[in-house]
Amino acid sequence: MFEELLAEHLDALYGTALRLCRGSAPDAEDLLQDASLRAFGAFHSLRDPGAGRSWLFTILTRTHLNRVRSHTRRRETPEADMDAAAFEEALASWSRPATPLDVLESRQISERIATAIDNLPPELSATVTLMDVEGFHQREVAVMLDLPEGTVASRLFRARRLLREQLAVPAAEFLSRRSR
Amino acid sequence: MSSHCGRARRLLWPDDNPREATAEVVGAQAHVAECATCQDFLREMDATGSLVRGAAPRVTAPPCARERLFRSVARARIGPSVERRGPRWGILAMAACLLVAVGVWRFTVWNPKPDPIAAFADDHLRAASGPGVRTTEASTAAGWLRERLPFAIQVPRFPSGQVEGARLCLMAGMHGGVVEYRLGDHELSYFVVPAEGKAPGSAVDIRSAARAGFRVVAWREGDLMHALVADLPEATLRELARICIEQSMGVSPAGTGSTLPARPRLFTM
Repeated sequence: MFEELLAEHLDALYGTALRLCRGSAPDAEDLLQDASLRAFGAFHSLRDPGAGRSWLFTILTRTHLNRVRSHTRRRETPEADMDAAAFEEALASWSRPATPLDVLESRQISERIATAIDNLPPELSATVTLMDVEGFHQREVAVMLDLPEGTVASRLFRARRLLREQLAVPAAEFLSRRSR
Repeated sequence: MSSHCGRARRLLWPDDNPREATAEVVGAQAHVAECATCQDFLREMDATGSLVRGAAPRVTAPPCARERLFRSVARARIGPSVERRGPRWGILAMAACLLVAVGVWRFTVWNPKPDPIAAFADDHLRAASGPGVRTTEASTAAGWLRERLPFAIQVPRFPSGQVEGARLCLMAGMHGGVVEYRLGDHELSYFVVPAEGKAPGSAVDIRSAARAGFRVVAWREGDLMHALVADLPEATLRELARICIEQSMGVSPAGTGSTLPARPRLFTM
């Protein structure tokens, strides 16, 4: 039954909706409601009950991205994503961050991580939330977002790099205070 | 760092999918085995992923949001079947739904025999709502409820009654608020829950029933259903109900004496 599937994954869906809506609870609730009604309407098309979780998240993320696109009145700009050559170049130019994050306590990181994800561009925050927070695989996220796997990888790389940069600020402040 | 680094990283990262061992992939793996920078890259990326996964807050959908969501799905479940049947069947279906809704309302409010499956979800929601707040301050109880419910509850003041606390409740799958009182040796609960369907006319009907040694009086005001439950005589509860109604109308702030322009129509179920 649809309600049972929804109830089983509701907390995770709500958490993802909250990240996609940049921490706005009313927007997250609205998104979740919209996505749930769409899912309910299409429930008959779900052939494999084992794929229910991935299927619900697909509907949630696509509903969100459709809203973002309609609000910005444009298709997502393809140039924002890297082609294979540009991605290889970005990967090759990666260098080990100067500031280690392990100086921060897990509590300090937890306090900042939600804000850091909320500050990412929507397409990056969707990718990192689905892969790193919810633990979906690159291939599953590619299906959810209707993207090539390579694009998912490049978005994940950009997202993690940006998150790393955001978290490096408090880590550097902490090290600076400690050295005084 | 060689020009092979970028290609090897693109081919092998993120490494959560099984890969076909093409010559390109095998070459990339051989490169990484020799390249300390690429190994460093993979380690750092894994660490960042683990950090995000471990630190990201795990949230629980608020009970009110759950309730609204499942209510809208329930509406959607009924909706399309009515639309498909054309106008004449639509009217009949609507009338049938109305009869069922009235029946369900009477069944659930006055003859509570919960569906055992729904009871699991209800109990989970009830636990998620927490035990409530213990307070003797009416304003604290009202504030606590206001933060958790999509509607305001005016906490009535009863002569010789003392507020003891507030909590959330589930009535027929809907979240509402309860204010708990002590009246001498008696415990009194004042329930306010959303009412289903369109509100009746302006007259306030106070209904009464007895269950398991407790007396219940209930009435509807606008979109809200109110009820008082206690092991008190029916006449006393009706009088307390009238005080609630007066105070919600702002007629008698102290809750002493009846100043309603017309007495509510009373009947017993």
